[in-house]
Amino acid sequence: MSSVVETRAQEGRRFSITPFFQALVRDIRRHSVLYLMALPGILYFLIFRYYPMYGAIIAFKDYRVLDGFNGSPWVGFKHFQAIFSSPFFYNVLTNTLLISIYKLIFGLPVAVIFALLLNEVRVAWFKRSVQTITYLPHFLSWVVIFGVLLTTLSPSTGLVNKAIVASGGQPINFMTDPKWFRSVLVVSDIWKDLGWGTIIYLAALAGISPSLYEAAAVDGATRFQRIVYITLPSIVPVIVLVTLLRIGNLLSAGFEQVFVLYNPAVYSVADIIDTWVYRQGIQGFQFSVAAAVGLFKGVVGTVLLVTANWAAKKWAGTGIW
Amino acid sequence: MMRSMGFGEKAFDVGVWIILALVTLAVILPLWYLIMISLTPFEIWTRTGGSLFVPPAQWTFEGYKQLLSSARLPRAFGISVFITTVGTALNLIATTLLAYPLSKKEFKLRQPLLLAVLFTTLFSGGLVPTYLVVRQLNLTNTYWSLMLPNLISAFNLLVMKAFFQNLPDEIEEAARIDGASDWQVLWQIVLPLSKPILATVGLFYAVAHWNSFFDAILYISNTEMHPLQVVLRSILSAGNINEYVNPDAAIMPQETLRMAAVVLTTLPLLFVYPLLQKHFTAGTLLGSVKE
Amino acid sequence: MRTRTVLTRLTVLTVFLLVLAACGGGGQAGTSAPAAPAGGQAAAPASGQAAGSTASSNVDANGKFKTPQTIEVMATVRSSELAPPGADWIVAKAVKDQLNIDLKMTWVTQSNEYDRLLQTRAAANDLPDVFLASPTVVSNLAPQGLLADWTPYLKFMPTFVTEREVEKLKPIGTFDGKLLALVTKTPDPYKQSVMIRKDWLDKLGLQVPKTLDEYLAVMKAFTEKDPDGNGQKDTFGWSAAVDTATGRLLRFNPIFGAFGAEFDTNYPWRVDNNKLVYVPTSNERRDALQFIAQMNAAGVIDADWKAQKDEDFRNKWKAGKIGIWFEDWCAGFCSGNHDPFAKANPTGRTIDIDPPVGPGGKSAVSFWTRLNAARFGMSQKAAQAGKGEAIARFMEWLNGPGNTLTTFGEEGKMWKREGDKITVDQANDYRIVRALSAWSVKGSEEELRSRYDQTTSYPNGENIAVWDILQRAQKIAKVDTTDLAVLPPAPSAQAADITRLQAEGEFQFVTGQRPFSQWDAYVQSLKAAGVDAWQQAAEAKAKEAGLIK
Repeated sequence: MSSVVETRAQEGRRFSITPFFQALVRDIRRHSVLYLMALPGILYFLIFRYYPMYGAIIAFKDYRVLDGFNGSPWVGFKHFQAIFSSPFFYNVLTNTLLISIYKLIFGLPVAVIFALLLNEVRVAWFKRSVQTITYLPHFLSWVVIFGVLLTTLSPSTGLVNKAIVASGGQPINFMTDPKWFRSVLVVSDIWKDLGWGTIIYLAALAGISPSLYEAAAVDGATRFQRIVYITLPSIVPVIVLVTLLRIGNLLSAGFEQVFVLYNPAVYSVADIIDTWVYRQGIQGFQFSVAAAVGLFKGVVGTVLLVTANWAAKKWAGTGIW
Repeated sequence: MMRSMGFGEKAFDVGVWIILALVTLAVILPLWYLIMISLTPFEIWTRTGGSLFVPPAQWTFEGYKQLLSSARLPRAFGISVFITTVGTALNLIATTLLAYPLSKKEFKLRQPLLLAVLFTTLFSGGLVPTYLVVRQLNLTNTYWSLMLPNLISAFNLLVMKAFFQNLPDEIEEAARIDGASDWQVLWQIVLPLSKPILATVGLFYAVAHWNSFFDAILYISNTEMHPLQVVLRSILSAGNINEYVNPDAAIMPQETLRMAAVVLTTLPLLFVYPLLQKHFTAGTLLGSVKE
Repeated sequence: MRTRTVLTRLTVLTVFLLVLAACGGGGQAGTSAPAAPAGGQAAAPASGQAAGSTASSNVDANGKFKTPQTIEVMATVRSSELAPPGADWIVAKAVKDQLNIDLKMTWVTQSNEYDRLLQTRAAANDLPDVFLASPTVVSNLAPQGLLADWTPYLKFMPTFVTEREVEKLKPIGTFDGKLLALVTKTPDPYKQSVMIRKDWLDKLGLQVPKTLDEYLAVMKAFTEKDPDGNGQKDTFGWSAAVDTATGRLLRFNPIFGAFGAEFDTNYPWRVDNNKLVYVPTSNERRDALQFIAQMNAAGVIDADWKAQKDEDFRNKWKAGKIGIWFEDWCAGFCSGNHDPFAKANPTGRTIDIDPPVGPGGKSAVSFWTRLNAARFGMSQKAAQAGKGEAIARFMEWLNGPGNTLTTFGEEGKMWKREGDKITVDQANDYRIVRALSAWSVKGSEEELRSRYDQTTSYPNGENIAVWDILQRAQKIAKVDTTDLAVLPPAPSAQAADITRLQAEGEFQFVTGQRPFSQWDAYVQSLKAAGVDAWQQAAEAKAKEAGLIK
């Protein structure tokens, strides 16, 4: 064994990697249980997440089923060029980013505030009822929500427009007006996932040690002060985690929602990358284009995530890694 | 020990209640509307355009009857329950076992593994390569195909890891000084403290299993093994159309039936959440309720 | 110290990436596994097909295989709310008894997911042996080499070939000289018509409209004169919807038909004076859009039409809010389908009328094709495994000895013949048995009568004879696009852009968001987006097929 280590040490002069392996072997011996625990998870990620990733190479190929992923002919950046040269690419990219960002900057604070408010309720039945009811819309499909929206926002018979007309305004065609449609997307998204989104924060809140509050109460802190100085800081890591992951996926703006709710009147503000790919897909056997779009989204996501993680560490003192 | 509540405190409470009540109302009204549609006979629904107050005398339970009388439903329900419970148990075990080492600073592979997991949230191979893997492993037409390909969600893993990391180090160290191994620390010290996060992550996994649909029709061709969502959707896509009279026109089923299906799939969840809630309300309230 | 940690991390990352690359390599080695069988089979066909051509010796005088055969059939069930047939399915038993073929059925209960499922399996080189596919899917799979040539097997299915008009329709399923899709004549009658509220006409003292102008006048009256007498202005002359997937305008077909601007969404062409015209950019299309814009501006179209989906459209006319609409007549009149309307509108009466006649004297309800929308495909893998003859004999059996069993079920128990009319028992258990009837129906009069020859009386004293409506619909003016089916689909890289440009453009013209003065710019943008290239490809093919000279 020692001779092995020695050879490695010698090699270490050429490869700086060797000390790491030495340390790793030592670490495995010392924490063998930890490694054993991680093994099933590592295997899972290798088999079901990394192994299929070789499929992404068809982004640079014309996928031919019989030739397989390997045998298909290389075409370089042809599919990327096709995507970037689409007359709609810029429009679709802008829409995706705007819709995602709106959802993030409006949806996230709303969920956090809602969780904080819930946390302040001392009457158990009220708190539980509010939680249970508000989490239900998460389980409704967008098709069902579309039905509700169509009824409530209808320019002729919808409740909202009746209220607008009653207060002297002009009826607004929310579903087909490009000025309003993104608001419809953002508000309906918040409505659907408000309760569901707070669950994660409530779980984090449950981890706060009661002694912190007791100490604060003794110091004479007001409710608001306790929220700002104790409750909020304790869920910052979760907020950061959620925000960062959403930033990494900023180019996914909610396919199902947009696909169900949009129509040609609002394509100019609502057509997103995923709906574009979908329409591309139903026409053809476009696995290579889909893979190219996936890679593009991944690369952009990586840049965004790395930047955001750096910023989070700098400003919030915590990141994912 | 608490001081008597001042006016400001009371006003704060009232404000919180009002806001929460309004939000809840904004959620309840549409839900109530859906329930009403599921009870309204189609001809009345069309005439009134659906309404929040349908007199009980007009209610119809046709939609529910039609759904519940389907011979496939009980079996599919059982399958869904099986997949959800077994699948979630597997998810939780695998996620916990990976999240725990990842939360340990002394775990040498922590950083690279973390990055590797994050990488999968950004890049994926897509549907076809995953299908090939499932097929190569001979998982098609088994329930494994609905459980293994989504064994660990990166998000849930990271959430759990963050929770473990936030647990006070002292408790674990005390156990270690007493000679407890990593296994013992995890099972006897960490997990009992982690009920809130286990309940949360378990809920996330369970809901994903409960809603799984395309995986089931892609990987399982034996229709007798199909879970609830698949069967419900096939009932809905056909509705009560007499196929032989009208084999081709894709007529959507009536609103009543569709909404009955929505209510039937959503309602059980009304009872699931409160079960989990008790696991994550304990901590915070202690401090303020104690008098 | 700090730099060292960074270095360590970088090395760790490098190692990780190396491992990843190795994994990727492993993956690639692994992929050749699924590819290998294909390659392996590429050698096999020699033996496989040799077996195929001499396979007749494997079949006895009754057409029964001497050694058992297995074929995987993928199909949608006809009534998806019912369970698919189980192991005791009498059709599978009969196939085993009479042909010695084990049917391995893959039932898809979600017809709307069928294409996605089929294409995913295709992309993984895991197609079922025989299946139905849409024209789009066929044109996607054909260049991939995944489909087998039916030609060598047609000799095993003579009655199928003659009765389904396979010979005549061959050009449509032929790619590079190979018959990759079995195109058959449609088993269905023409199903579309224009419907109008007769009771509203009577109440307002109006005649059935004939020309476009008369249509518009009636629509206005239906919108403004409170034809349902409820004192509210909640009725509309016309209703429409927008297609979820593509954004296309739906339910305006008869209006387009009146201008000669109706087209088949798969083959948007028209042969005019020996020229292939791309209908969406034609002047006729512009005029039709202008008329619809006029309808829209007059407020006679359902106020929700711009955002609603097809099922919302159907709920609207069932609710009695709409005066004239374009619909599948069976969706409107067949018993069961008419019930919700009859219940919601106790005094309501609907009749089918001729589509409007346009300024140039043109008129058409919609396009139609004599082809079955679904084409039969056989996977190349199945052919290479020597299953071609078994598949062909199974198809022949469906058309011949097994036809009534597959279509109607057991005679005497599930259906009866009275004179020359077949009466079918609709009990659920029997409907399950008929799960594969989409494959066996031929569209014979006997079959059609068993489906549509029904007269139902309603509480308002109305008797609806569906068979009469069916016959009227066959004679009505429509645009026959059958011959266009040889033309190629839109170039796949540009198809999505063309679809959006067109959907968005037509929508904006119709709703007044875009003035018609921009029509030429719109046409230019479509040409640049790929229509020009498509037109060239289509013209070449049209010349080859003799559509134009």
